[in-house]
Parts: sequence; structure tokens; C-alpha cells
Amino acid sequence: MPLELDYIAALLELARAFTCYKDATEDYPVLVGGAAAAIYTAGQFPSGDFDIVASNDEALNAAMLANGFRREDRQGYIRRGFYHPDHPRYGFEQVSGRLFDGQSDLNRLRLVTVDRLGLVGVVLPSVEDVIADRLGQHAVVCHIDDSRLRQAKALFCLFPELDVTYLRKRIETEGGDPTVLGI
Amino acid sequence: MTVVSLDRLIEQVEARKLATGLLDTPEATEAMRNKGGQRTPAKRELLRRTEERARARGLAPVAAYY
Repeated sequence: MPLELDYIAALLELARAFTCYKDATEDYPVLVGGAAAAIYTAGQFPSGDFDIVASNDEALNAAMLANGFRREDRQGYIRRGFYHPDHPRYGFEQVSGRLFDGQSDLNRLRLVTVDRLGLVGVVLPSVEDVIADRLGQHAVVCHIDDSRLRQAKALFCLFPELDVTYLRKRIETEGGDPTVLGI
Repeated sequence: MTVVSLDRLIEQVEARKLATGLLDTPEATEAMRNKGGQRTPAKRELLRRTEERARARGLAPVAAYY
């Protein structure tokens, strides 16, 4: 299924927040996890939540609130969650730690512009890093759930120009097995 | 950092799907869906609240296991 229109609308709001964060910090947050896989598969793998890595908590909070997002305000486990009242089907969460524990090549990040003029966008890890992340998770849950392996295989199939040397290294760093992709 | 528009990215991916026979079927989508076994408590709560908000607005939630 293609990316749904309301998904793209939510992504546009997030892109505005990311651009606001960039203006304040000279750095972009990065969208990771299932959301990155959803975008790179053009919706074949749909995801309703957006995981965000950002080093400056206060700047992210300010950027999100300035663009219509609200903090999860009820008591519970969520300390870094946001929602957008106009996009109630989607949830947003800042995840802790550095991007892939500092193991990824930041020069490979990709800015995906969302608006027609190309002024605002979200930053994604490279496809290689997303595949490695998926296979790292697969290594942990493979006995009960092969969904991350399937996501990784789909991404590997969709992007034939991947840097296989980097991909293999990153998969191994994440604790995955590159041979499941035949590399 | 390379820059690509979302429209262009989707166009490229959809073309590749056609070329490789990778089909967007409900079965393929379901097979790729995280079954939820390793989710953190925070993520489960986020998904639960998101589903609740969607239903409160009369919208179908995005399917997720949690």
C-alpha cells in the first residue's frame, strides 16, 4: 500500500519541526526505526509511530511545540512522547541515545524534502543503516518474529545501489548476520 | 548529506517494486509488521494512546501489535 495521505501530512508537520530544530541548533534530528523503513519502502511497510533521535532535548521540545505537536501529558511510561491533534493516527517519540550509538557514517544521512518547494524535510539514516538496524533487531527476536528480516530484505531489494562493504560492516556492528541477505 | 524529494523517492521505489515484482499486498505488509514482542513499555503506551486518539476521532488506527 502506498504512503497514506494523512501519513504524508503528518510527515510534513514533522519536517517543519525538524527544520525549526535545525535553525536553532545547526543540526537535524533523525527519523529512525519503523518510520524510516516505511518511507524507504514507500509504505509497503506501514508504521504509525515516528521515532526521533535528537541530541538537544530542549530544542526538540520547542520545535515540536512550535509546530502544533503536544507533549504526552497523562501520567504513564511516556516521557518523551508527542502527538499532533490534527494527526491522531500517529504517535511521535524521542528515543534516547546517539544515532546508532555513534557507529553510523553521518555523511550518509539523507534529507527527504516533503513540501513542494523543498524547503522543509526530514532526515533519514542511509538505507544501509536502516537495514543494519533491522537485522540487529532481528538477531534478538528472530525466534518469535521475522518481520524485521522481511523489512531488511525488502529494502535490500528496493535499493540495488547500496554500498555492500559499508552495509556488511554495519550489520555486523549491530549484531546481525549479513549472510541472510546473501552478502 | 544527499537531498531527495519525497515524491522522487517514492517514484524511484515504486519503479523498483515494479521491476522486481515486489508486491504491495496485504499479506506482504502483514508479514513485515512488528509483532510487538520486544516493545518497551513506553512504546506500548504510545501505541495504545495513539490508537485511542484515532478511535475517539472516528478514524481507523494504523494497525500495530503492542
